[in-house]
Amino acid sequence: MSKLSRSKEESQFRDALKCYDAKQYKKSLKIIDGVLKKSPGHAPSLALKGLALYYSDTDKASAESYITRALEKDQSDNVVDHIAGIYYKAVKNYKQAAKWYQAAMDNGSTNKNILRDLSTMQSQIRDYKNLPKSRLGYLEDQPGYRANWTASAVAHHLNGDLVNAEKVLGRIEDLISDKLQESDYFEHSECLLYRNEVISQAGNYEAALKDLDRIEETGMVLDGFALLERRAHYLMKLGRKKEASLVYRRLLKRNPDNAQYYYQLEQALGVTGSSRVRLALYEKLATFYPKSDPPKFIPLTFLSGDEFKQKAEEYIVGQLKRGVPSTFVNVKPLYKSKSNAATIYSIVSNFFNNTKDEPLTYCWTAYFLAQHHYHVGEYSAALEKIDVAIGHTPTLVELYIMKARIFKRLNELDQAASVMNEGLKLDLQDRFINTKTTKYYLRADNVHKAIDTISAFTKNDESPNGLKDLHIMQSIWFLVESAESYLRKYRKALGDKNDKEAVTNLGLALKRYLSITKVFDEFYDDQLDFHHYSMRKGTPGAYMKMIDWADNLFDQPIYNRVLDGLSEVVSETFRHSELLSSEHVHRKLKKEEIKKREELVQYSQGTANDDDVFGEKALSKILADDKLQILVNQQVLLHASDSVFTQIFNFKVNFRLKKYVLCLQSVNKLLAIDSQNPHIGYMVDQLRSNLDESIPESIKKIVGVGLMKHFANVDTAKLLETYFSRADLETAYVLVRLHKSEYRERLAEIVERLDPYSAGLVKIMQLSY
Amino acid sequence: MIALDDLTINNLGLVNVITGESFSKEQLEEFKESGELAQFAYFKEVPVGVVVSKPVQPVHSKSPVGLLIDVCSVLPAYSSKYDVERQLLSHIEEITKKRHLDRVYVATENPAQWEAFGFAVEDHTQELYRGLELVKQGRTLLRKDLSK
Repeated sequence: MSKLSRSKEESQFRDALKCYDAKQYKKSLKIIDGVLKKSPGHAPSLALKGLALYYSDTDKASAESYITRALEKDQSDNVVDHIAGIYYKAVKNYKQAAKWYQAAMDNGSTNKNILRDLSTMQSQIRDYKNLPKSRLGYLEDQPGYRANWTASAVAHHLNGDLVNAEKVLGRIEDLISDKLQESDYFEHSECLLYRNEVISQAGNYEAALKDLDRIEETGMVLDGFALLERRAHYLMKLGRKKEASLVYRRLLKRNPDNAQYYYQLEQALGVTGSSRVRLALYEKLATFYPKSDPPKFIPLTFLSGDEFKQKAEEYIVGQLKRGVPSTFVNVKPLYKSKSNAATIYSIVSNFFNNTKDEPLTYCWTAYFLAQHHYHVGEYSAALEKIDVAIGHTPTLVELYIMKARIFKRLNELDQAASVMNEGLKLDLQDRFINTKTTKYYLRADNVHKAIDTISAFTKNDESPNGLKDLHIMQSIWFLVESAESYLRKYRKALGDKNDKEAVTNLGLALKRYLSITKVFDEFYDDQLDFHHYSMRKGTPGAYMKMIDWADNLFDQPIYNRVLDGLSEVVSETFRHSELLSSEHVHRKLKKEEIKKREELVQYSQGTANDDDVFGEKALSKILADDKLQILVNQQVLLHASDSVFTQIFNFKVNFRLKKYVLCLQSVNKLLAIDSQNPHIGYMVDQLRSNLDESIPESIKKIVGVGLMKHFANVDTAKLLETYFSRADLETAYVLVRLHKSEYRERLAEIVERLDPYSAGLVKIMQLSY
Repeated sequence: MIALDDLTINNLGLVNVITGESFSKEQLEEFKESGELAQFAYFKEVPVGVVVSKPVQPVHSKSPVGLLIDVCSVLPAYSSKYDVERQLLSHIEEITKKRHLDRVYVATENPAQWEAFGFAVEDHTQELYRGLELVKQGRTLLRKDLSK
């Protein structure tokens, strides 16, 4: 190619780049096409075409092929690398984005802004090893901004290099401290505290305390609580308890409602062992802070006998007289002790029998007693008392909530929802009761009514109801509850031998579960902006908390619940794959069925333009995917490697994938964490009797030998005695899943002892076994 | 201890609960639309009573002769104890005065209770009230003159 045409090509490419930067994607594409016509192998143009295609919405699908072609042609061109980085960032493939941003720098790009994007990518994918380098590179280029110093320090911190983190923070502090303006004060305060945190994390509390003295003296730290809390914490760590106790007293003065301070003060004073001294302490504190709850409540947690009775009476009756609706909730922690429960009951029922004059006191006391009976499992007595309260003052929403709850526990789910709805009618603008009513309809598996109810609080626009808005607003509780409801409806339909209904509900359960996983993915993705923003705002402390939050995002109980349900849907799909046969799914619908289905779509379509409203395609996809990607993708998100749930989930997934050695590891880990967990019994049983025939003998042998180590003498009787002895819902579920005659009797026993609601759940689960 | 407040679209459900009756959606809507003529009474912020009144408009007259208390109900546990009824009545009396009227009527199954508030039995068959259907079966019409 002649020199002249090459330079023309370059200049055209620059024009195209300018258009792209100005978001004139179509125009940019036109120019690139001109270049590519003359030289089809011009790598930067190929790459830019990919990017412009992606953003111009003309042909998103083929965008990636241009990027890969460009990289194949010339991946040593830093412009190509940079464009590839931008493209992969746009499609949220951050690993690839980081790779190509890095390549752009390695190939001699002088554009230092790439380093900023690179460090964002590295933070997002937790590549802490390389992060300090890119942060430092950017800092060297732009040392005039504190944000870049903070970012560099945070990078060292994340990489576990506390010494350098502290050094960087110290340097910028020295450089800047005499040039601060008022608008910098907040950032400065946060950074001082952050530096102190870094020092303390290194474990040198003496130094941390000294630093705390220093920053307090500057008068630049705005967070007074943080200063005191840290000081107390360090003093405790250093064994200077007397001084710590004084700091805790100062903290109590600032906020006498924080129960934690009281406990910490006790520890600082070293009085936790003696209830006599503790009581004296709290009596004294109660006179200082007469309006605070903790000094009155905490003694109830360690007193007993007549002393408990006297103090409990003062506490409870005092609240009931004032008509505090939450009195029972306040004392509920005390119910861990049976004798406490009996004492409290005698106090309150005695009070109830002698109070008629003050109507609200009477009513709230009846409410308290109903809650008491509910809590100790006396449901009919609870119902009786709540009816007394409602008969007396039928205009209080709380009473209906309690009554509904009792009905729910009695497994009268329709009745429960209808009582909740009665309460809702008293105050339609009360979002709490609206939410509760929705949830109760879902528990009663009345999904349509649930959606109708909550639609009073959603943005419905063109939609017939709020279902789409609930997806957009990431209403996790609603999605989880409805997924679980569909799963129950699926089992009920199986019980009724209604295959069509079953498959629809199973598909809908899957759709809801997948929606929640998407919501959580979005949560995780939401961090992206903060890797830069938090540094600029000068909030490194809050940023570190966010990183922690994101690292544990998928280990939260609610997500465990989701994964439990999702794996259940997957396992049901395989167990009842006949449901997805063409006969059920593709049967031609009759006219009235079409109409019914259209109505059903209105109550089922979670996102606009969804071509798989009932999840039939998604279910088929599960059957076709022998790598079980749907669950394997979730496995990698679980970071709490020592949690009970992680072992159970990993076992389920690996067992289906026939990775039996990994399953063995899960059993052993679970055994170490919770030695009597019912799932251990399940796992042992499965590994013994349910291995796939096709696996090599050697694997069978490894599993057999592995089981010998801890379970050599564990026979059916031992399993029953050790792992299936708890009469709880979890054990019942495990036994249902095992579905074996030798456990049938124990299952029946457990169901007998469960409360009616839980027993009902077990019976629903049995319908699909 | 007692406070009064308007009915709103969101708390109309309380009316049937307090009165123990079953007014239709349309009737409840009408109560709410009447503004100050309908009020809830709250005892320590808990709704315990309700009053609904409407103008008595003789057929051949341009202006009303007074207000009729159509509904006045207080939960039994709070009735005749905390002055709820009196407060509800005072409210209606004030509106009556504000509208430059001087008669308050009530159609009730319990005349004695209202006589204690200064009401006297009124003959509802007289010409003035013809065609107004002020009194449902089993109820007595009473009247209180505010000018006295």
